[in-house]
Amino acid sequence: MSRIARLLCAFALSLFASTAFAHSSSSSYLQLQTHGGDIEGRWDIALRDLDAAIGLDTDGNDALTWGEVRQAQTRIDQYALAHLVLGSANVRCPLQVTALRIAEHADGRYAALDLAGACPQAVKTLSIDYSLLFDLDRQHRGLLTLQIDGALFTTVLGPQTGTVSFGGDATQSSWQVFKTYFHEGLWHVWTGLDHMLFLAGLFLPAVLWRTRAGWQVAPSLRGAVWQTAGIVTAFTLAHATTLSLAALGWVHWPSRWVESAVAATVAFAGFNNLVPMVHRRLAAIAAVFGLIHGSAIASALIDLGLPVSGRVWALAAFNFGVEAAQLSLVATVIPLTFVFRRSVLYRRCILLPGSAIVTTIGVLWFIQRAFLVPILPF
Amino acid sequence: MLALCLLPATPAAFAIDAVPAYVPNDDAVVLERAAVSSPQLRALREARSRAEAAPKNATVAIAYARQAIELGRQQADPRYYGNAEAALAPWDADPAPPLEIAWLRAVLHQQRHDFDGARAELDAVLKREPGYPPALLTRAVIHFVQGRPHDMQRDCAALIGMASTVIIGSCGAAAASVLGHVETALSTLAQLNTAPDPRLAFDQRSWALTLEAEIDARMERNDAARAAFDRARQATAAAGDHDPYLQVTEADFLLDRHEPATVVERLRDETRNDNALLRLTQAEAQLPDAASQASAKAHIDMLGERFAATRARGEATHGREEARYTLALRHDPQAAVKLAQANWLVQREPLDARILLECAVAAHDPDAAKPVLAWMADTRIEDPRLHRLAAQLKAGTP
Repeated sequence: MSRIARLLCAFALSLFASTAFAHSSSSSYLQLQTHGGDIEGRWDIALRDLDAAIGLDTDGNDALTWGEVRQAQTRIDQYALAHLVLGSANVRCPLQVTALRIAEHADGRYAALDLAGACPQAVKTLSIDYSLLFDLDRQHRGLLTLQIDGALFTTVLGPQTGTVSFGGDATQSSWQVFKTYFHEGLWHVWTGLDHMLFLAGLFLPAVLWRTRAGWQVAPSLRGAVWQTAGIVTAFTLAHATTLSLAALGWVHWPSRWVESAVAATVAFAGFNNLVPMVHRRLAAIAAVFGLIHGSAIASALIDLGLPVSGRVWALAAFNFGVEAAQLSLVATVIPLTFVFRRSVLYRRCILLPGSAIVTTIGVLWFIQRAFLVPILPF
Repeated sequence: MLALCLLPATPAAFAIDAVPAYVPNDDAVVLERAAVSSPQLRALREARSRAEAAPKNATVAIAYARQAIELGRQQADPRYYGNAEAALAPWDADPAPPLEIAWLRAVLHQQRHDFDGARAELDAVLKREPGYPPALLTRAVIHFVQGRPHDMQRDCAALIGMASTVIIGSCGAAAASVLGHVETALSTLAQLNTAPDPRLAFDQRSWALTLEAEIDARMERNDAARAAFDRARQATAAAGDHDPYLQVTEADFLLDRHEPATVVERLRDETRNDNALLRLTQAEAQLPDAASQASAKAHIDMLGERFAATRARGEATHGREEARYTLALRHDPQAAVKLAQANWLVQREPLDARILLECAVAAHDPDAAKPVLAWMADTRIEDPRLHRLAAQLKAGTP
């Protein structure tokens, strides 16, 4: 009985302390790049992990000084290199540590080992056998970021990973990234009701607009399409800017005001068709509104997450997707409305009521978003 | 393409996000301090060398694993659990290792928040030896964490006659406290805590002590909670133990009582512990002076990086904390509610219910709270704060 009691004792707390995971787990950060046959990179390993593995605190005073780390440099290098084997075309690529510095991560100080190596031939695929610390800490993980001639790969290396290879079809990963984010950009516009309503409000006057002198029709389809495409492109350039700034984390737009501003642009666009406020310089207006819409889309992109590396590429793909969706809208809506532009039916039953609805929705959205009052179910 | 032109087209744009590396200018600069004293680490190292010297020897492996797990609990540090996993690695491929090893494997699964994996392991152990007390107790705890207090009660009852009164009492009280029998739970715990058996080792008692304080705090019986926390803290100190879980639970109580200064005082040096850092940062953010505000700002960034590091590993062990961080410190209810919802899929303790309700209220998203409300109805949990939040959601008040 007492043996069982002792078994139970020390574990009672560890058992129910479900949030016992409070410190950080052990991770190392391994960055590698290949150019031709040359390899370079950096490997950040937590000092406390190195101390646990090979002992750095030579004076045993529970404090690791830079002096102690420097003195252990050779042992650190040997230990690290013994647990990282790189190969290409079934031949090992010898690796060296060229410098030892310190890097400060959120959970403590790391040894930053600068790496340099060479493979006998230009690297098409790189194989990695990572075994650091697994014999000591099975929850240690190597966070790898690898670039082979411009193609980017990231992965988490664990005890079960074994030897992994990257590369081969080097263009594939960039293409995959492009496809994914292009699709996301496309989809986001097609399913973004406020974005679509704003654009619709903006396009409608392209074929038929009201002036003080009365209704004017667009003289040619090509002119209408061209003008609309111009508006849309100005819009896209502007929102690509704010979107990129926000998605890269350089600016943070408070979402409540951005969403309210988007609603205001929708209301404006609808209202502009009812009471003509602007017909010239629609591209400039679109650009200003684009800055606002870009900040709004940013949160969706941030939710989706940009890849660890190749963020700019992913962003560009996303913006392309958005532009493609918008141009598809132009290509569909403008020719259709152009055909009906002279009909009174279009004016009375589609343009005016449509604009009124868009305006109303925009105003309701504005109230809903600015004052956090739920009104509309969408 | 145009988007690319608008951005600074530096090679760094394609380079990996690198933390800058530097060379310290003085050999005497201290880079890391050990969190654990040398004697404890030395003892662990010795246990490790004994285990490494005899790789297939279950006894030394278990001794090393247990020491590592105990240190992991004390320090709230997953690296030690990683050590324990390494200790048991020789039996990884064995589906029916010695019972104690199988049980320890389950405990390690649980620590990684792989509750389903842990339960599978424990069910297998109990099939081999029904009534194996450590497995029953661990499974009871997992039932509690996953919000199944009825199942927990069953496993606690199965322990009768096989564990100490205080353990069985604590187990039953934990289940009862969530099943709408708070008075029963508290009176059981009061009995266990005010007149403890002097022969009992502290680690047998610590669960009961912490639990009483937790329940009092949850029920907003503030004077009783204060007394219970004091008692638990003093008993822990008297036993020479360190209990991060108790520290953090008391910090939550103090934050709810609007006493951030005490929280800062207590947790100032615990920044390595992510859970403690979260409470410390919340407290600092509530203090008006410039120094606290500056410290809070720095800690908010630090916490963000820590959560990102966990996500980079593909893990999701900090769901509850990250939801709280996103709501209280990043002021982003929309993102917080998503995190809280994802967390609810994994664990369902009262604290998890609370954060999901708080996020749902802040985000004006009553639908998000539906699973919690269903759970509350099913367990009939008595908890004034949860019921207030539920009422807020129904009324739709901001």
